[in-house]
Amino acid sequence: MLLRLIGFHLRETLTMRTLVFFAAVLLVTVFLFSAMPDLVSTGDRISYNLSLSIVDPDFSLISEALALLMGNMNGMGQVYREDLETAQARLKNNEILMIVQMPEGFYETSLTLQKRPPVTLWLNPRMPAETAIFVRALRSFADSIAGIQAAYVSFAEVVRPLYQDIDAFNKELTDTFSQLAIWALARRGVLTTDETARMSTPYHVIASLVCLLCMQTGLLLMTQAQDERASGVIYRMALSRAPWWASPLSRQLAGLLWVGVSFAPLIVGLKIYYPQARLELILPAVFCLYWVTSSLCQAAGYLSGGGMLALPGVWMGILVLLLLGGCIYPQTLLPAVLKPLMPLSPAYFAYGTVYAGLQGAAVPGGALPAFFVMAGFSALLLRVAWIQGLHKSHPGVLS
Amino acid sequence: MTRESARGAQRTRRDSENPAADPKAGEAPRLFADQNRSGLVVQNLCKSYGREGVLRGVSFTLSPGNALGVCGSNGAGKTTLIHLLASILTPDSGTITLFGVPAGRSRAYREKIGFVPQEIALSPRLTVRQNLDFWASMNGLSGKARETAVEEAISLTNIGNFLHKRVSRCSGGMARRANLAAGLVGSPSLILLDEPTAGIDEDNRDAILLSVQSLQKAGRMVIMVNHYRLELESICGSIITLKDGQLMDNGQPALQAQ
Repeated sequence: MLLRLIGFHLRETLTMRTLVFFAAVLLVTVFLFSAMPDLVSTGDRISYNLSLSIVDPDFSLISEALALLMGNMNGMGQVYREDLETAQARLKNNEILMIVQMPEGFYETSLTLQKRPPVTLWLNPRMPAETAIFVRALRSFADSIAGIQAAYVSFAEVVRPLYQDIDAFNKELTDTFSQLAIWALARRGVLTTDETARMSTPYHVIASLVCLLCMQTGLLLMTQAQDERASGVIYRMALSRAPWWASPLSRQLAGLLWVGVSFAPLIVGLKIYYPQARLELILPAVFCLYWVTSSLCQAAGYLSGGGMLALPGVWMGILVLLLLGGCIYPQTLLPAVLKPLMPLSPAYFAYGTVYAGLQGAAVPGGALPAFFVMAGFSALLLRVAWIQGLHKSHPGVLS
Repeated sequence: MTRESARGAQRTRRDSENPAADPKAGEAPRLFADQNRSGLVVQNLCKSYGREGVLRGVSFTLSPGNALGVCGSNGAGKTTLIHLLASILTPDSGTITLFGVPAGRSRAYREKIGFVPQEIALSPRLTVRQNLDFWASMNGLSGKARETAVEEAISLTNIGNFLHKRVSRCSGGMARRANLAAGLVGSPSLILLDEPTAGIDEDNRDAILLSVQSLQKAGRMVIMVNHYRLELESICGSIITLKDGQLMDNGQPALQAQ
């Protein structure tokens, strides 16, 4: 009976929609691998041309330290030290991410106990997410400088009685501060960047696309579940000898075939470009993500019936899951408020596993138990939705 | 079915078996003379959605070889009644038995039910024949038994001339007749028709009504929901009217009238 149902759903899903989906997947795959040489050559970079300008009228030690640190950051392009006018022209031309403008005498003031004048940041509104990470880095830098300054002031107060000559004292302090700063920089102690967040652009793009295409397949099944409810086939299924789960399960299995067909070119491409990729991790990750998403989409289909807003609604839901999974923006760029929610998305674990599989690494911890929990939850939701779909078909319309 | 034969069927209706004529209040109104022969017995059926009572104490019986029409305005509870009879819904109280088998999810009950929803519950991408084969398989039939069941459904609905047409290419009337045939696969004892003639032309409507008559002759019980009383009168031995979830007779609840 299950085989017959799978055959039924294969024929049901072999529609123009499915063919368009295949064509889109094929197009994206071809595009991906045609761009692959460029992606590979750029290596470990978050994206291209993330540059910034530092405007320091004094060309002080602090701006030098900042330029050195930022220049060493992962994914950073050029760090310009220039005047404000030139920097603003660059910002306007979208050449740089931001301008760090230090006020005149910033360094001198930093050597005293006086309150430092604020540093002005000119941000590029066209790259808000990328800017956010650098703003965080700058805050960290400022905290480090404040720490050094506090140590410096404490040191100055302690050693002041040892000096009769104030000029000699000031010179000694300046030298000490410079040494301290250089020592901190040499040990990368001023600003530490999260090395684990280093990201490979090609891996990110492939892992994100795999998740996106896999989850999109769920939409095909959703429309089928909608049709089953709207056409009354759900009644006949309920009254037949087939158990309730036979129809959704066989539809999922039929959809799995389409996932296999659409992913075949991608897998072939991966074998060519990434021989180290562990397909034994990537394929189960695709399967798990598809399984959970297709259950959720079918549940949405049974609940919504023929509602016009169902398709865009579920599509938005998939986008949210992709966002939480780090497939739209890298996980490190997501706001802190979203980070606790990330493990709720099946895409989070699938993305991590596909990414690790591309690197040839092991499965991230917790992925397998998370899949079982999510698969169980989605099956439960599907059951509830199926009952709702059966009992609430066209309420009030047919009476 | 010609209009004359449909009217003939109307003339055979036994008015004396009106539910309101049952002398014993509280018992299921007998729509047909011999309750011992009743295949379907519905007693004091109640169903509500939240606080809204959709059916309130509906009772009737139906014997093999008879057709019962159910009419009423929108929201009267017709579809809820037919869904309860199909065991798609569970009643809040009251009982339904079919040849002594209580309604429920049991195979013994459900295999006796042939449900024909108002929508065309068929795959538009398959031919009519493929659809019938598929639903016969879903009813657990295979091989020769499946073939026999499908042939019987085809014969009862007289759809042999468009069997190999895709449902998507069938006219509305053809699709409705195919939909009816799919509900008959497996020789069910009780056939539940939810507005089977909605939105189709006169010829196809007559063909469906003729099929209903053939089903009666074959000893099946038919319950047909329809908005139009005249159409029900042309084919059904008895008609019940639902209003606000109760059986009505001359504008009064039938049970109260007893």
